[in-house]
Amino acid sequence: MATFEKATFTDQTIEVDGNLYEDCKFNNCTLVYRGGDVPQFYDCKFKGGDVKLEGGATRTAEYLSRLNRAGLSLGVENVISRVKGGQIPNRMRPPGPDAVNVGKHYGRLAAYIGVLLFVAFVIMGFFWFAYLTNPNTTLADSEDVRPLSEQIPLDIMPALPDNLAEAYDSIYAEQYDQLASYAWINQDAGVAQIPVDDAIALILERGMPSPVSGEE
Amino acid sequence: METVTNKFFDDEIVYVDNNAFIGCSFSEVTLVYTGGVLPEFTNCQFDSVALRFEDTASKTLKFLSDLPDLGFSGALDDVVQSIRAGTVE
Repeated sequence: MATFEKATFTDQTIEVDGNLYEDCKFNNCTLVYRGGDVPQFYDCKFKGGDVKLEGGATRTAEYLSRLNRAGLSLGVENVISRVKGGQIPNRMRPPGPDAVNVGKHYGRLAAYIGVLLFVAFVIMGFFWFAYLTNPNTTLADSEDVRPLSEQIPLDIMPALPDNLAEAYDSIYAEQYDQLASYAWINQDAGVAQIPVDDAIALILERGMPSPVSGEE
Repeated sequence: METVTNKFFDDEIVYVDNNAFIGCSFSEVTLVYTGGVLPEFTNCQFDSVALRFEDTASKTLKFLSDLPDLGFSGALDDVVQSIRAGTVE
């Protein structure tokens, strides 16, 4: 890079790539730029003259021209607009219907769905494992001997019939009485029911009874 | 110069210097030009193409954008006109 200070150029052709000019005067000069480092001008005065592109600079202009002819006029005009506005174009996308361009990344979508399904199966497997290893206590296994009508707050289950708990308690009491009482099942065949505690004691004392004739 | 024929470029960055593209399609592509040997485009289709300039090309655009501040708006207009008219010399 060459630096010029307070220099005066008159009727000259000057290759300006990479140069620094401070407080210089250019009278009717042609500035030649070839695409090298951008020259810098501070407090310079230009009277007449012209600018000429050569080498890579000319190729860049020709490249834009070729894009324009190839059908990319929107993109080229965007670049021109940025250049005229004093902005350095770096990466620009021409306006167009591409904003609604969807449905191109099916592979990525499939991968995301696969990951979501895998996570869902892992969570389901976790709950299934938890259920197998530590199942919830059911009412039948519960040691709570209070009537169901006292265990279930009926006011938070308005969809259930009002007497559901009472009906359950009634059936439970009837079956409990049946297990704890003596009665004939088939007197002619000599089949009777006895309290389950007595039955257990008899089985322990005498062993398993032989099947009654005619019954399996 | 390398010749690329009937190729479909999709969602990628393509450095175009020193290439001749014939019958190619460019979709969701960024064309990068560095200021080297000029590329050629023959019967190509473009859809949602971005333009990027690097090295010499980028510096050239920066130089051109500085021209109005130097008082050379007319020179910039001449360059723009030649680009549009296809008469860049």
